[in-house]
Amino acid sequence: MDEKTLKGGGFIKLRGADRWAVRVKVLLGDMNVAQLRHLADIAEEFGDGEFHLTVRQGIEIRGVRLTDFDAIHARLAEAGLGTGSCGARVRVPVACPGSAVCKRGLNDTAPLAREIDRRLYGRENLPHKLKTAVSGCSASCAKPQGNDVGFAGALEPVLDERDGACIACGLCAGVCPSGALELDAEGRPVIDLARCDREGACVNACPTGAIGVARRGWRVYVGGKFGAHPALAYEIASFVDTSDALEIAGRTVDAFERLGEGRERLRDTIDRVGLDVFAREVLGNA
Amino acid sequence: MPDTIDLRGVRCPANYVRARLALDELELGDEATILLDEGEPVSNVPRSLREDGDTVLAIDRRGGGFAVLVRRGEA
Repeated sequence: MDEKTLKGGGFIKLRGADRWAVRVKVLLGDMNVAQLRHLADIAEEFGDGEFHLTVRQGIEIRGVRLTDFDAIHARLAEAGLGTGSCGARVRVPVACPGSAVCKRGLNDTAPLAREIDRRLYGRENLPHKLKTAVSGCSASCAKPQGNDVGFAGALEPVLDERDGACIACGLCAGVCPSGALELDAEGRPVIDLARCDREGACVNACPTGAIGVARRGWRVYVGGKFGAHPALAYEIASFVDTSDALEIAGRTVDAFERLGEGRERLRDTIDRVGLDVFAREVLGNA
Repeated sequence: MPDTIDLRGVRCPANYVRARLALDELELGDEATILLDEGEPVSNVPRSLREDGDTVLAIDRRGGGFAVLVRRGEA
């Protein structure tokens, strides 16, 4: 096995002779007690007693030896765990906790992140690594604009017009970040969807629940990266449903494989062929 | 005249915690007025109280902030 194969299997060479780390995949940053105990057992048995938390929500077991490669993989599988990818592959998605946990979150991040992982994780034959991130809202804690493909939760607000639902408190007009919401003569909101950025501030602030959710969707970003020459992503779609978001993610990876040259990041590919050309490849007629 | 709970100058999330503790002293169905600062406090605290089961009856500007009239509900 060469070092490349090992990296595909989540083994990373560290400084020092026969000193490796194994990267454990932690989708959404979530683990249960049994898994964490099991991981501690594996680290005790095979590692040097240290863990490392990666910046992308993974856990690495430090100081393992190459001869234990197969044994570690087998032990991880016992607890439903596996290794995270390295190298020029689609990486484990990063995701914030989303609306299931976070009070500000607009969308549940787990279904989209899990499906991206199921469909795309580990894909090879790419010019470079490809990172994805899912944020439950525009606060962008998972940094979707700093990833090759990123998603930020968004929603379309709607006012419950029934008597008594809205108490005309006016809080919504004060929090709208896009100036899309004005108050009528009775102090009730009038929402201009053409100007609405779908950040959900009005829904979150409404103290009576009179402003509710008409539809949830995703803002989609491509071409973000860090590295020596960081660049924020391009917004390629402003409001698509989960199925279309997944379609765009898949087509983006396809386009990267087809159009990418040498060892370049997706951003370089997009800038070389032109954002409009790339967008046509990815969005099709959608 | 309902109780007044003055939480002006108290930051998130302490303002919510103090509002919750004060409301929990009331009988179900009783009302209280909570004074909150503009910005984060008034856009967060009333919403959180609603999630707890209280009812926000009215919000009016008062003294550079907001007066929030709340009826205690059951969590």
